[in-house]
Amino acid sequence: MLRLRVRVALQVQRVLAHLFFPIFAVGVVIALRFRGYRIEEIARVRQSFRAIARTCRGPILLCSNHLTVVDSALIAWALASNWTYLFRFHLFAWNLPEWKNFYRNLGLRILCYLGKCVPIVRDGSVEEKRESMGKLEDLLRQGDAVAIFPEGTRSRTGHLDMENFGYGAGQLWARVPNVTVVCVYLRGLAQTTYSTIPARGDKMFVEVQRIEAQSTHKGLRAAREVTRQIMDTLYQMEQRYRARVGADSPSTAAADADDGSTSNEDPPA
Amino acid sequence: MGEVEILGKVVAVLKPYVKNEGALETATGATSILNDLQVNSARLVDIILALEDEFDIEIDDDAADSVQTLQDAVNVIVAQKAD
Repeated sequence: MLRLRVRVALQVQRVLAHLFFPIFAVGVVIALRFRGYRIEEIARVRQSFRAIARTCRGPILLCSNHLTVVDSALIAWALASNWTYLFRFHLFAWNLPEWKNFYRNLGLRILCYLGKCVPIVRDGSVEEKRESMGKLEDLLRQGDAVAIFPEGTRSRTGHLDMENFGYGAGQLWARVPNVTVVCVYLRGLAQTTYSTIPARGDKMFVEVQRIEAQSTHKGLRAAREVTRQIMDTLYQMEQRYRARVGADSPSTAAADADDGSTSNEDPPA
Repeated sequence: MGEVEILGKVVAVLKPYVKNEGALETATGATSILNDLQVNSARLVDIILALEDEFDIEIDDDAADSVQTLQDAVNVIVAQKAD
């Protein structure tokens, strides 16, 4: 059970994030546009997400692949307009940045706070992990969307890591009734491997798919089974990305891309 | 089943997940599963489920969270078997 103090702190964060959202969101989108990023077929992507959001009975658990540190911002931008988020703020998903990557200075802390982030300590104590899961469970139960990267970290190979994923997404599915699991595959057409940020001017392939997660088991077994279903779906989406990139000539795919796609400035998390 | 026998079975269950196999050969109850045996933390759930299968028990989430060392695993198994 989440402590009252923590629950109140999350409510305060939600209110402040909502109040500052117009400034925050415009700033983020300007920054993304300044880098020249574009979302391929953004209208289709948003239409897909709108249809899912309209028909789901419970909170949304977004599960996606992970290749750059700005994936969460790009996904939020791709899935809905700022107006949608402003009036349906529960759709603007909570994120889980690693504490040591995003909380090293005051500016980043404020940005994460207003961006509905719940920091996690990857190698934290049992109590810390339990509290992080408790926060996410509580947020989902209140109807808020939560975004999670099942791989836990940016894929070092550039492909979905089908061996080393955690079962956090499945655990949340098992604990919160009526969660709608939505898989999102996001990747720049010029993205060859993981990086800090996508290459300048990169166009983002985004695919959204709701899955009917199910398990005949309970507890950890259910969590494992559902997380595998999520990863299998993401894997199929990755194959479609490959088919999409393969359909382009290499020169088109990497057009106006600089070398940012392979900059490995961040130490492996 | 005695604790020594349980420990032996726990070691056998852990084997496929261990990166530091040398540490497994000299493992004692105090051996840390994550730090000493270098098991990927994402695989801890698989280990808990494998232990459930091996000993025909059910380990709840709280008990699973408490498993840090081999002795922790033995203690959880002994407690569940006693229930």
